Amino acid sequence: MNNKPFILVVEDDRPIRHFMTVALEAQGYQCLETQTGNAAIALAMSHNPDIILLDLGLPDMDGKDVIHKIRPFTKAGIIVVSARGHEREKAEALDCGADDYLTKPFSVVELLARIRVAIRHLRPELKMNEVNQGNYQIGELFIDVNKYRVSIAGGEVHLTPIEFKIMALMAVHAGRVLTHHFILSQIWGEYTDSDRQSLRVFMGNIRRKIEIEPAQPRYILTEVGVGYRLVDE
Amino acid sequence: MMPEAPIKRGLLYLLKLLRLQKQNMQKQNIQNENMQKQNIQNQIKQLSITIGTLVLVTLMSFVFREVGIHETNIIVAYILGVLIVSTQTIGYFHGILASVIGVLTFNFFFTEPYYTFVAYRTDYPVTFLIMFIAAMMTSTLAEKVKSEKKRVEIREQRTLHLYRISQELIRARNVQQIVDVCSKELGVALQRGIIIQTQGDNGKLCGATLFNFKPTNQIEQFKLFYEQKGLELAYQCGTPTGFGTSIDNDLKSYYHPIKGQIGVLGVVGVDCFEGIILNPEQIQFLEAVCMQMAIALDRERLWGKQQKTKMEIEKERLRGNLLRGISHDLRTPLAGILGSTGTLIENDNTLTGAMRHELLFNIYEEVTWLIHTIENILSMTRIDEGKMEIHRSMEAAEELVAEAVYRIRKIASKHIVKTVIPENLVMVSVDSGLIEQVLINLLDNAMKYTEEGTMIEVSFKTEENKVVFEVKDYGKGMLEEEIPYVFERFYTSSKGGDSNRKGTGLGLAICKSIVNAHGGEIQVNNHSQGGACFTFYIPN
Repeated sequence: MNNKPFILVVEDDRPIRHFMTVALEAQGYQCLETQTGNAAIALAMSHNPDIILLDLGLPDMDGKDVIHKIRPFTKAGIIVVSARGHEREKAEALDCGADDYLTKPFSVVELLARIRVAIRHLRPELKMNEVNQGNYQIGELFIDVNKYRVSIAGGEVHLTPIEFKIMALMAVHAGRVLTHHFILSQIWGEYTDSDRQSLRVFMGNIRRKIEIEPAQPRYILTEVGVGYRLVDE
Repeated sequence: MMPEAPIKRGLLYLLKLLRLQKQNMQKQNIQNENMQKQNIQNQIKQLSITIGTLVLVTLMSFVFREVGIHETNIIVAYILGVLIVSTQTIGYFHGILASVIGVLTFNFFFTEPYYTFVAYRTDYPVTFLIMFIAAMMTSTLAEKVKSEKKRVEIREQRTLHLYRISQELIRARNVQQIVDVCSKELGVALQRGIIIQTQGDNGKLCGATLFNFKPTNQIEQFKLFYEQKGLELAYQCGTPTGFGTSIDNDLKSYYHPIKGQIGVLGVVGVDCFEGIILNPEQIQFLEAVCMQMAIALDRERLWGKQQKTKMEIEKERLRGNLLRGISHDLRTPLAGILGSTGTLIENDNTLTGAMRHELLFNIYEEVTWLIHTIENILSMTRIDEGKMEIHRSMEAAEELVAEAVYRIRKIASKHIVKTVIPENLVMVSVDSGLIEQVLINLLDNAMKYTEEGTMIEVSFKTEENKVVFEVKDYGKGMLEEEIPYVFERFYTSSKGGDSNRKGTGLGLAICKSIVNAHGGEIQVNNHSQGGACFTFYIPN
């Protein structure tokens, strides 16, 4: 694979498309632009990008349909872009196969951060938080998946089995947002509405055990209406 | 199974009808017996009045004869007796009877030869005839006066009644009250059961108000199928139907339409379950009440329209204000952006890196501010549309606070933010986007009016059946006289804080609207360490 990661930008608004391309190329990424969903599908198949930035408000197709069509054929990281207030749309896109999202209007800093996370998950050798197999370090948070141990700033944290499973799942996907649906189905399998409520309780407990200020978390961020994200640095 | 059910239902219905009829007939029989008994009693009473009076007059006349008073006085005394009988008895019969008996008695006792029915004097037949005619006339006159008096009494009652009804109707505040007043008054005046149905918003009859004059009235009969049909027919045709009319004469009630200015506004049904027709005077009274009702109903309708129009006007006014406020406040940052970008383009080769950076940074700040303000404006237009649609979901309060703090940090990070939350997870049912906006606006407000580097504290707790949020700053606090106005639209503090950016004055107003739409309240006060404390609660 070429060293420079290759990004497909699917966005119908010219100024936005332009600034994204400029910012990404300035970071050393290779970019290809297109304005429609159909063209995006064709380009994704033919050029095999590493990352696809997909706007959900495309004129010709519903973003979810684009994801449906290309997800089976590509391992690219798909980052969807959507307006504020459309949380459910984002969550659905994520559950359809997208890997992360950006909310318009977003800053270049956010854009680059998302791209970085997506690239790390594509190329495991770039994952900085995985010290060695099953061991994750993020800031002062250490997670040992094999030994079922979590510690923060040296002090061990006592998690219940489910809490640990959640932490492990988030560590594997560090930096990426995980929807409620994703976490519930990975940990619970089939789940009910009361399980949804339980997830909140578990996350609350985890935060209290790990964070200095649970309502201003350093590690486990809440994306209200979408899911949770463990930062990866 | 399908055909059986309706058949069964039909049979049950028939049985119910038959049972009702039997009950009715039994009642009629008892009533008839009672009436007959009363009749006999009445007759006996009146007969005794007649005979008694005549006997008294006769005795008096004997006295006259003894004392030597002339016999013309006796004649007049008899006429007086007849007059008394006429006034004290009902109908013409007793008056006439008294006339006849009077003449005969006079003949028997007071004409020569005494104690016979023969009279010698040739002028006695004339006397008898004139006496008889006089007696007849007085009795018929007395009877007329009586019935006239009775009619006048009834009319006076009706007028008083109508007056009272119109008074109560003026006080009525809605359609139901109008109908209640009229059904009660009609029921009491006509002494029958009443049903009133009025036109609803969709133009069809809706709601039925029943008045039961006496519990034995069986006003449930109004609800029977053909009775309903009769009522609806009166509504549609605008003519009376039912018992005593030419349409649907076999119904058990009389239905009278309430005619307004434009059309039929409703129907009044009067029970004729005892089989007695309404007399023309009663119908006149009913019509008069219906006219009053129509006026009141029309008035209600017009008042409702007026209220709606007022609201529309108010809405338009608010919208106009909002647009004006917005355009004014958006022009400033846009002017700034235009200027900065223009400068960059024009002077591309003469600007130093530092100048360029500053201009660009200005643009960045203006845009950030614009984004935040436009969020607020969008919320405001949602509120002004009339209904603030909240899409509630159960969220963890601490997650809402976390995201709000995270987002405010992206646009203003020069303060210390501290969060204080309870030990256990607190869930609250809210529209997450909106409540976050409240928190962000409160945080932004706190940051705007306090010094850089000071602390802002965000906390929440559960209390009884609500969740109480608090945003506290440690600045100089609010001026006491400002506190009542702070949540009003377009109100900005005259104290000013961050001289760079004055708000549109919408932030706190939106907080209030959103919190109110969730059923909660928001307030502000200065806390003990100086500084302002904004508190709002969301009921569970």
